Amino acid sequence: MNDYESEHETMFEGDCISEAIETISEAICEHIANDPPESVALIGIQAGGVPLAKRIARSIRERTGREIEVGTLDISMYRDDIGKRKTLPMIRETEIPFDINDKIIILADDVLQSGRSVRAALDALTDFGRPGQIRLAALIDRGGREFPIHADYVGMKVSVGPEWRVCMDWVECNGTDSVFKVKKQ
Amino acid sequence: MDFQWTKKDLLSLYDLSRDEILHILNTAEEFKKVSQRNVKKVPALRGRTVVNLFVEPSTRTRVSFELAEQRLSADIINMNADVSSFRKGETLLDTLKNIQALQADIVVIRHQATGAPNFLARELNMGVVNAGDGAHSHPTQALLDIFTMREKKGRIEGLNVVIVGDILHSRVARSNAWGLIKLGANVTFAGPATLVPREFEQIGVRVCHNLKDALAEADVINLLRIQLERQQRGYFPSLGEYSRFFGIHPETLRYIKKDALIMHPGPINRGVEIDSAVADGPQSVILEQVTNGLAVRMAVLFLVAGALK
Amino acid sequence: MNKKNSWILKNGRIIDPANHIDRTGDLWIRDGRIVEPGSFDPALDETETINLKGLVVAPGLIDMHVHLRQPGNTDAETIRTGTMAAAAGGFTSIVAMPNTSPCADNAATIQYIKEFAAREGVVKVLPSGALSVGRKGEEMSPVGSLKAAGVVALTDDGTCIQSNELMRHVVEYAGNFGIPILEHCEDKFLAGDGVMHEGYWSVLLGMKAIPSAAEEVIVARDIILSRLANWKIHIQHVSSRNSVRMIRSAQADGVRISAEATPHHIALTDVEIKKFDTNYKMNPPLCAEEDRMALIEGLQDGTIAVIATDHAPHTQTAKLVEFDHAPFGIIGLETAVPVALTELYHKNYLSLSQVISKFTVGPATVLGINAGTLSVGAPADVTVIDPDCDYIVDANDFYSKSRNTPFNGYAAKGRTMATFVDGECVFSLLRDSESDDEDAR
Repeated sequence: MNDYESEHETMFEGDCISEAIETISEAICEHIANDPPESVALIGIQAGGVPLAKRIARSIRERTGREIEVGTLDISMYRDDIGKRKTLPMIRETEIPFDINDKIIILADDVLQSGRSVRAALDALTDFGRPGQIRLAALIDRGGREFPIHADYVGMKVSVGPEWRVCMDWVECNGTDSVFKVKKQ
Repeated sequence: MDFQWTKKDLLSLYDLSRDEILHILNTAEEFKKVSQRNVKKVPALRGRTVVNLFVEPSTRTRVSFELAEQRLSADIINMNADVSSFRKGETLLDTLKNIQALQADIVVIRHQATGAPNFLARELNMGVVNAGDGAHSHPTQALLDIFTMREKKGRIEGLNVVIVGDILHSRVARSNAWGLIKLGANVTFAGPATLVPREFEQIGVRVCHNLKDALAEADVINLLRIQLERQQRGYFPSLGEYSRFFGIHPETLRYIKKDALIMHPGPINRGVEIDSAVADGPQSVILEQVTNGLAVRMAVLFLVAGALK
Repeated sequence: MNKKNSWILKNGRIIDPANHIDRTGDLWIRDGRIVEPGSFDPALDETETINLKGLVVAPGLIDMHVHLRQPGNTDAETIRTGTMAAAAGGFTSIVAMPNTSPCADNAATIQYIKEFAAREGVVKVLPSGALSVGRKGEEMSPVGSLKAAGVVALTDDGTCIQSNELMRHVVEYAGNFGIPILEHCEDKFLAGDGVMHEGYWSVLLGMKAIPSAAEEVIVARDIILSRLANWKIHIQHVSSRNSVRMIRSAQADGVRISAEATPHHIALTDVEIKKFDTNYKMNPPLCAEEDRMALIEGLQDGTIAVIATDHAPHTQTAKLVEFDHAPFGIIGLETAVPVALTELYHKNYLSLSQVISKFTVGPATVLGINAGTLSVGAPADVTVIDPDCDYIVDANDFYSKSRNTPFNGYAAKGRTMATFVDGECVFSLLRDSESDDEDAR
C-alpha cells in the first residue's frame, strides 16, 4: 500500500493494466515470431519492471506456448544521480540466469519518463555481455524525455504535467494493480 | 517502506542499529555478484575521490578497500603516514582538512589511536570509514565475518559464535560482538584469563577460559591472530603453551560440531592459533571471508557516498 | 573594576565555616580588611553599600591546584588570564603548580612568578615548588631555598617521585622546613601508556587504560612515609574508592595525610570516554560510578577536606587530536562553584556550609595559610555566590585563555556573583539596580 501524504490520484486500475500488458505481449510476439525462443529474453528493471517482465512472459506463453527466460536488473550502481538524491535507492536483486551474448534482450520498465533509468540499464546490461539487440518495453509512457530514448513496445501513452510523479503498484508487490500520480513536493 | 541509509560515516557497529547492519549485508550481497561477473566494475562512485589513509600498516585490509574502490570506479589517493609525523608536524586533522579542500569525498582510515575515526567524523564533512582503530573497532571486518556466517548458515539469530584468542587487544572481537549480539547470536569469548576479561559479560557475552567447554556447541569458531608481543609483555608464558591450550588442532575437530565453520581474520599464524590441516580443511571459510570482505567494503563505500551531502 | 576597598555588604547570608557562622547580616569591609559592623561611619568614607539579599557571602575561595602555564606555555594560559578566570570562578587565592617551563624548582623562577603575579595577577597567586629537580624524580630540589623564596607547598604534580627511598628523604627534609607536600599519586609502570580508567568502559572501547592501582600504590606508599617521617602529605585529585578508604583509615590512625577531590571526578565517570572527546581526558582519569560515590562519601565524612580544580589549560591545537595523543587535563576555575553546588549541595550530599568549607578552611588548613575566613581583621577576600540561580555553562564566556572543558553546556544551579580581593572588587555580575534600588527600600 502506498502512504504518500501529498496529493495522490489513481489513473488506471485492474483490467485496464492487464489490457495494456496484452498490447505489449502481442506486439512482441509479432516481432519475434521468426526468432527461436532461446534467442529472446526479458529483463525487468528493478523494482517496477520486474513484475511487468514476468507478466509479459506469462502472456507470451499463453499466446504461443513459448517459454521466454526472465531476468532482473537493478540499476542503482549505474545511476548518474548518487549524492544528488536525498537518499540512496535501495539496491535490489540483479538476477540474470542466462547468457545475454547475441540474444534479443527486451528490457521492461513500468513507467518511462526521462529515459535516465533506461540509460543506466543499458550501461548495466552491457557489463554483462554483448546482446544482439536490446529493445525496450514500457507499460506507461508518460512523456518528458531527457535522453534520446524511445520504447519499442508501449502499453499506454498518457500525458501528465511535470509537477506529477507517475507510480505503480503491482499485485505481486503491493496487493493491487494500479497506476497513480503523486504531486511532487 | 524501503530502508534509508543516512550515515555519512561508518565508525563502529556499536553505533549501528540492527536494521542498518542488515541493510549493509543485503547491499553487499548484490555487490558480491559484481565481482562474479566478467566485467567486475560498476560506475557507482565515478567522479568520487576516496583517500586511503593508513597510519597503521596493513596489507590485506588496504588491498581489499583499494580494490573495492576501483570496482566502484572511484578515484583513489593512497597515503601512508607514520604516526610520528602527526605528532611532530602537521596534525592528523590538518592533513585531512587539506585533503578535504581538494574535494575528496571519503577517507578510509586505519589508526592505532582508539577513536581517531570518531574524532575525524565529528570534525570533517567528508565521509569517514573506519578500517580499524586501536583495539576499538573494525566494522568492515566484523561485517564480512557476519556476512560469511549468514551466507553459510542461513541465519545469525540463535547462532553460537565463539571467538578465541587475544580478545583484550582485539578490535575484531569487539566489533563482532556488537554486531552479532544485535542480530541475536550467542557470542562466547574464549582464551586465557589475561586476555579475556570478565567485563565483557556485562554486554551479554559469555566468557570462557576453557577451550573445550567454549567450543562444544559452537556453530562458528572465529580465531584471532595471537601476537608474539603479548607473550613478551607477560600475558601468557609462550606461543607453544598458548597453542597447546587455546589453538585449534586436528584433534579439536573431534569434539566440535561437524558443520561448525572455522574463521580467521588473517593473517594466520599457522601452528599457533590454528594448524594448517584445519586452516585448509573443509570447515574453513577463511578465503571466503576475504572474498566477502570486498563485497562488504563496496557496499559500505556505496552507502556512505550516497549519504554525503 | 572598582578600585575602592571599603564596602558594606548588606543582608547576605554570611557563611564562614571556619568560625561556624551561618547567619543573615551585614559584612563590613574597610581598607581591605574585615571589620566589626558599625565600626566606622560609612558617610565619612568612600564606602559603597550593596544589598546582597538572597545571596551567600563566603570567605574568598582557595584553589590549591592550578596550572597557570606561565612561564612556558602562554598560548594556553597566562598569569593574567588564569587569575582573571580564578576571579570569575570566585577564587581569591590560587596555588600555582610548578610544572612550568622552566620548571619552578629554583628560587629565580619562583621570584619571576611572584613578581609577574604582583603586577598582572587579579587574585593572590601562591607559588608551589617542585619536589625534585626538574620534576624528574632523581634528586631533591632546593627545598630550603624554595621556602625562602616563598613557596607554600612542594609538589611534582603531573608525576611523582617513583623512588621510595628518595621520597622518604624528601618528606623528612620538607618536614624539617615545615612545607607541606602535595602529591600526584601515579605509579608510572602500572599506568603505562594508558589514557583512561581501566574498567568496564576501557574493556568495551579497547582503550589503553590506567588501573586504579596506579594511584592506590602511591597513596599507600605516601601513607607509610608520612607516618615514618611524621610529616604532612596531601593527596591531590583522589580518584579511586580504595584510595579514599586508605586515607580514611590512615587519618583515623593519626597519620598527617589529607586529600582533595576535583569537581570533575565528583561529577563525571568514565562512560563519557565513549564520546572520544579529549575534553574528558585527564589524569587521574574519570573513574567508575562507585569511585565517584566514594569521593562524595569522603567529602561528607571529612576524609576529603578540599575541593581543588586541577585547572589545566591546553590550546585547541593541542587538544584537537586523536584521544591517545591529546595531553591530559581540563580547565576548572570557572566551573568549580557551579559544578560543586549542583552535584553536592543541590543533590543533598553536602550543606552549603560544607561545600564552602571545602573551598576555604579546608585548603587553608592543609597549606597553613592565613586565608579562608571572614574573621574580623582578616584580609577582605570575599566571594558572593548565588546558590540557586540556573546557569548554562558557556565556554565562550570564559576568561581563561583555553576552552578545554567537559562542562560546556552543563546545566548548573548556582554560580559566583562577585569576588573581592583585599577589599577590591575584581569580578562582579551584580547589577547596579541590585545595590541602589533595593537598598532604598
